[in-house]
Amino acid sequence: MTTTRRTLLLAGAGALAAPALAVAQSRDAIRIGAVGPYSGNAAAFGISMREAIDLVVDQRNRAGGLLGRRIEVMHGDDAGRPEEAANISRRFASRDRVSLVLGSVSSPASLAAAQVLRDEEVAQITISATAQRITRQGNPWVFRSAVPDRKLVSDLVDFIAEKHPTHRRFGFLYVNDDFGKGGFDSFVEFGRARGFSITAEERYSRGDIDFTAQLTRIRASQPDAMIDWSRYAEGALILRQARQVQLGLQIYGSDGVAPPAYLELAGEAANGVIYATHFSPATASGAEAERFMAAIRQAYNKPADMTHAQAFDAATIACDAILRARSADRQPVRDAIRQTDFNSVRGPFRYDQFGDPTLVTHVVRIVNGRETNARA
Amino acid sequence: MLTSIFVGGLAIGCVYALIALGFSMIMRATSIIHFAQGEVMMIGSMSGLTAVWLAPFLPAPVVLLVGMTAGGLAAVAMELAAYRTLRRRGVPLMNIITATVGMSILCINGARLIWGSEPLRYPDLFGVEPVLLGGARVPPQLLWIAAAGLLLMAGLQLFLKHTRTGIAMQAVAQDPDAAQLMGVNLTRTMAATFGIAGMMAGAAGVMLGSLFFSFFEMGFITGLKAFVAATLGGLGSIVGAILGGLLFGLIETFSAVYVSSAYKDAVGMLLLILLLLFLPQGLVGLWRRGR
Repeated sequence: MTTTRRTLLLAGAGALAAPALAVAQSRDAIRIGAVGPYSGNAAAFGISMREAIDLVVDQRNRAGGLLGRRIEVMHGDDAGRPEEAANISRRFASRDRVSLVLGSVSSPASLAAAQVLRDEEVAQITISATAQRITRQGNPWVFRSAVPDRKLVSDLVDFIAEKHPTHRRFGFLYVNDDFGKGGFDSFVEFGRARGFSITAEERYSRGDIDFTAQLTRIRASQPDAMIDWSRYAEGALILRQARQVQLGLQIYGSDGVAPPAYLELAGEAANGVIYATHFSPATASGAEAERFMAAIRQAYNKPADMTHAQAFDAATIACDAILRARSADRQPVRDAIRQTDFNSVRGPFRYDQFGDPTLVTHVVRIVNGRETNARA
Repeated sequence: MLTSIFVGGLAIGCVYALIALGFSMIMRATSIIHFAQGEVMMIGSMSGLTAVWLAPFLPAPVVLLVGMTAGGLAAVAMELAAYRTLRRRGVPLMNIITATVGMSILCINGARLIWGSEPLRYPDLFGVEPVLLGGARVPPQLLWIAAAGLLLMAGLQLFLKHTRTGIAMQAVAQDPDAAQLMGVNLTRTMAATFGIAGMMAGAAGVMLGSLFFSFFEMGFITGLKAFVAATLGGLGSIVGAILGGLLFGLIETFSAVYVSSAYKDAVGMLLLILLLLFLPQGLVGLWRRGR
């Protein structure tokens, strides 16, 4: 009763007829909410997310659905805006009565959705959000599909220490926001245990286009290699300018440069760069990965990207959890997600006590403009 | 190292100066602060890129020309479609300036619709092999951009001093009523002012695109910095805009190397505030006071 009253207050008079309608529909379909940036600057990620989720749901529905019921995905476009993600989550929880929610893509939007879904007690699996704090706020309803940022940095540090032991002193360039600063702080913290040191700490603002000054200062500090914690547009410019100023250092990048546009924008300057990524055809192995890449290619006639992989795994986790729970109710579904243990398209996948996956970060090196497995 | 930083600062300074020129010319002729000037630059950049897509064999000067033409046409279209009508209706100046902000947002969204929201790569128009200059290795793009920029600005000076349209523009800028009494066609001259201002910005767009990327939002922050550069030089002054642009580019680059890369924007803006406090007329004011 209280839920209904709160819903009515929040949703206003327009939603008056909704609860009755939702009950009638919930009998014939299991509803899953998906919230992502289907328009706006991050639309490329949102569209990949939607494609992969629709693919999983389509496959399951053709095989008879779940528990004898059809799956229905409700897509909500947050355009990358946290307030919109929160509104959509509220609607999913109260009006659409979904069993769980997939999304969103960015960390701020995912956090905003998480606050609402925690209140409403709906399980959520975020797709690409890597901010550590999403799963560290004691929220038992949130899970993620991506490797969180600190784990990713720690995996990259281990990779450098094992595969490139001569690289111990680093020039570090990063974008001056949560993403870049977080990457830098974690690298310093995990690197310390490996005896790494920082010779130059250089920053820039989001949207900057000229990095020659930073690169010049990094070169002057005479490091063994350079770390670049950027997103792909700035990252590609940094590669091109590094070539112009003849930096002559091995560059290691973050997962922010993993979108394919990075290689497109950087062109030849990308050769030799090494970066962490959440998924790459070059590092994918196993039957699940092969099947997944073939399915994406067949359904959408394009190569599978990182967001496809994350969303595909998230949707698979969701469907399997409903099957294991033998129920589409929110609490049993949440408990079943926690028990996830399967071979994802990115490798063996389980959840730790926080709701983070226990995947190991993939690392790739660019050779002739293509990703290759850097661990090989 | 000093040489390459200097050339880098000069090249980015040329880009600011070309946009700042547009701000100052339009300001002089119509008293409008044309906040869509950065977007005119973006349209020039995108058009030049589109030309390269359609005809990859085009040499760099032709691409530059395409960008200039597109920028010029875009600015004239804005003037004819919106600003002139607003002026004729006697709308207060503040509202016209607000309309230029609206125009800027319209252009940004239109560009996203046409060219998408991903940054687009320009081909290497000017080669990539570094040039040896005073013992330093300098990327050739920077040299070409600095040279082309300075040449364009010199050309503009000649145009303003020695052609009928140029002299008419100067006359309108000084006293529109007197100019009209002397037989200058006010409407046409103002349109020409927008056209020339747009061409300068369009050239800047191709230069900036070839140095970095083309991006639907590229005009916003660059336009803002060019406006600051124009103010630094003395808003409404042609020489001031050139000086302000070049100086702003150099200060930004040098302070990034020698002060802090994270706060390079802050250094430029701090300088601007100091200058406006002590020299409200900008750099040109300093020169006038000295005489």
